[in-house]
Amino acid sequence: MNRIEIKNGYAHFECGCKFLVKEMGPPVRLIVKADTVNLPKDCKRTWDLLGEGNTKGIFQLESNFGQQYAKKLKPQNMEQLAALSAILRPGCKNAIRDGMSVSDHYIARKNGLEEVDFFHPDLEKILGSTFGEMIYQEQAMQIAQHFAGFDLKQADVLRKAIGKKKADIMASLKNDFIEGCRSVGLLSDEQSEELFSWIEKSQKYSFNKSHAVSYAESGYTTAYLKAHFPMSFFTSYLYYAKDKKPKPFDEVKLLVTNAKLMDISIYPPDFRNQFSHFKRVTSSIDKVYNPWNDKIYFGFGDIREVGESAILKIKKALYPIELALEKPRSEWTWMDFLVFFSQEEGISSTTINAMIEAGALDYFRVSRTRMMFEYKHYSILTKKEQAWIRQNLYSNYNKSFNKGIDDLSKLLSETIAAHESGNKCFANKNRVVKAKGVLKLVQNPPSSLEDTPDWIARVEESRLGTSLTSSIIAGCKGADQANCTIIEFMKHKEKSSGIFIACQVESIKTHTTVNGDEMAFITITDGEVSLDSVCFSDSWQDIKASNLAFEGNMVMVSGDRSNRDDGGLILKKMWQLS
Amino acid sequence: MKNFICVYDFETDGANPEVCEPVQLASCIINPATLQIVENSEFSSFMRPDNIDDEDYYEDHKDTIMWHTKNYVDGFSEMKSSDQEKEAKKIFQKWKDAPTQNQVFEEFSRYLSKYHTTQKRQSMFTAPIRAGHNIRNFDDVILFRKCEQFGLLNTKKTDVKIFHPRDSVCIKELAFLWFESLPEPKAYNMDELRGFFGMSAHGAHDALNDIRDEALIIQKFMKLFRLMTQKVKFKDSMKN
Repeated sequence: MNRIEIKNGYAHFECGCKFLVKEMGPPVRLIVKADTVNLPKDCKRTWDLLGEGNTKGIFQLESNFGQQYAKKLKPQNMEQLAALSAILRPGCKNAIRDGMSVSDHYIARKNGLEEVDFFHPDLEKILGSTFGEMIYQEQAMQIAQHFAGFDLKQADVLRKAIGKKKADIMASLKNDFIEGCRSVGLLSDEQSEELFSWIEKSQKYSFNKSHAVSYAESGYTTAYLKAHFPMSFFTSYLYYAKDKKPKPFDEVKLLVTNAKLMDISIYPPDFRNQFSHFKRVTSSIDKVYNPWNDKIYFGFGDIREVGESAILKIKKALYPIELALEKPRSEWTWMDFLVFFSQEEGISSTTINAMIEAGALDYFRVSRTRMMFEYKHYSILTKKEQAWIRQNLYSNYNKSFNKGIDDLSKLLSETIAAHESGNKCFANKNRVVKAKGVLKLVQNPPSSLEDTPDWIARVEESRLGTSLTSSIIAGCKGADQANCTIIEFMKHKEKSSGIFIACQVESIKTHTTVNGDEMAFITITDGEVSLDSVCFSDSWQDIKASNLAFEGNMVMVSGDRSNRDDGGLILKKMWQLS
Repeated sequence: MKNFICVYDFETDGANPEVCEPVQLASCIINPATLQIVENSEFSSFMRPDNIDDEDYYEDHKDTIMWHTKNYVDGFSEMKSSDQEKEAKKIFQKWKDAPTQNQVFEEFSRYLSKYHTTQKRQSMFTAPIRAGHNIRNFDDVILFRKCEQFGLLNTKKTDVKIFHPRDSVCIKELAFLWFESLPEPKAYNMDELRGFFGMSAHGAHDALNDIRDEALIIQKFMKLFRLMTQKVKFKDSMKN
């Protein structure tokens, strides 16, 4: 589905859209040029994306509400997309008729679940495009003109009253409206009262159509770009997530989750890349261009507690060390990094720990726990002692440590041995005792230096806003019995029953039904994505009695997919994971 | 999320917690949700008493060193006194060669930071809950003293910042509450409790072995409590 064919200088999508491509290189890269001004408005790929509620990052539709309504409405043209912007407003949502909001009436009518009827035959030409629902200010003005004989000035006063939510002006206009309807004679008093009540209810801020259409244009453009160029879309949204105050990391988490749902992988920062912020790396290209093979990397600046000044210091320190070691950073070992880079003037321990925890140094193939442990204890040596080690134990001949020194334990043993054989590495006896202490700790670490999957997930979430390489569930015994992950449940709607998900209980809200039974809404998470589920009273009684449903507990849940539109999870059973 | 539970124990060079020096620290972590001991969560390290280089340290602490040696070395009681002395010297040397207390406490603090309820915005309230046997009267006193020495107290100097400031679990107190009306166990020290619960006494008084046994006891009590809190109606039970 995501493959793009390159033919005659154009990139062809399965939806029929094609874009001019330009080869750049070496290395060969394909630059796809999109004309954002003249986008085709009938692109199935774009409308499908909107209809799936995949509207994170889509102008005006990225809230939870926007996503839910887009999914319910499934807009298929610009008129309906403009209407979507309008029905999200309080004017439509709070205007209740027959126990349903105007927004819900509009959705039901558009989807053919409710008959479209017009209160009066003359309303068809005014409300026809919106399935008989009054959702725009302009429609209220037209009704006032047509049925109450308002002139343009009076209609504009009405628009202002609606737009500015002025209840007092609306009340005074009511008499004029009823009087006007009497003189025009199209409606009875009862009908005119009813029609005015529609207008009155919409005063809580209904939208004007011109505004809605321009929003729809912007929304469609962003949806189109997301559907066709998701890599560029996510790279740029992630890049600017840092400006999303007050919680930029929450925004990063939502975007990364959304990217995963679109089969796009985001990678942790990598010390070799030295990207300051999110960056897309284009994969090697063959004849079939597939941007889904590209990678998006976090930059150093996207790690919590690594600021711009720290990035500058890192970059400044790199080159002299590469020169001294006569090898690029991609060829450094953990020992090179520890002895040369980590102790560089101006590089703080906060920065080093943040880089380790975020996974930026994983290419050394040393566990993050061990790196943090060794860094902490190596830093106990004074600058002088460290300089002595660099000068005396590092061989300039082959630009690596003297033969046999490939871990911290050997490095410290050699240093202590050298000191004891007459080389004055340490200033006094106390310093030797300290160094010996470090050596003992390194030789016999008091605790395991292996990384556990749940710890990796938790530190990544803390440093990057989301876990990328592990899951809080991964370390739990029994988790492998699950037949579905939360992401898979969200992506593959065909899975309908016998669903087993290993997860953590994120939150529980109980609710008493009209029959007096207690049921629960349980949000589960695997650390990356959260999923709301419903647990009906019969299942809830068993789960509650088992004492497993509490926040933070690691459990296996089983259930079925709801038949309703949202296709949510109906949770039936819960077991403890250990 | 509930806080992790850290079962910890010091071995020391004396019986008075106000003045003795810790020579070994061990701990393990209990997952608060599952009440299982977290895999690979054990911590164990000897540490060098601050005053071990004093000329008369060995003589002053000979009884304690002998007592520890007896616990570590199989068949110690049957040995000739000269061999016992040799073994005791080995233990003494082991303490001497160990990392300094400061280094071990720093490492312990790093280790505990992995078991906070969250990895971001960590505070005392996200830290593990301390647990063990007789911790209130013994281990906590040493812990506070050493944390004060190594800058591991909170800013008000009222609590150690590496553990949860309020909650703790002491097996000795739990045992009293459960067994005070019964003829057995006769005392609530670990040796007596081990015997009472039918646990092996092998390796007793090695900090790591002690915390393993203590973790099992705490696990058992907490499972029992969780079962009971489901059955007993506490809320409004004293309402007139």
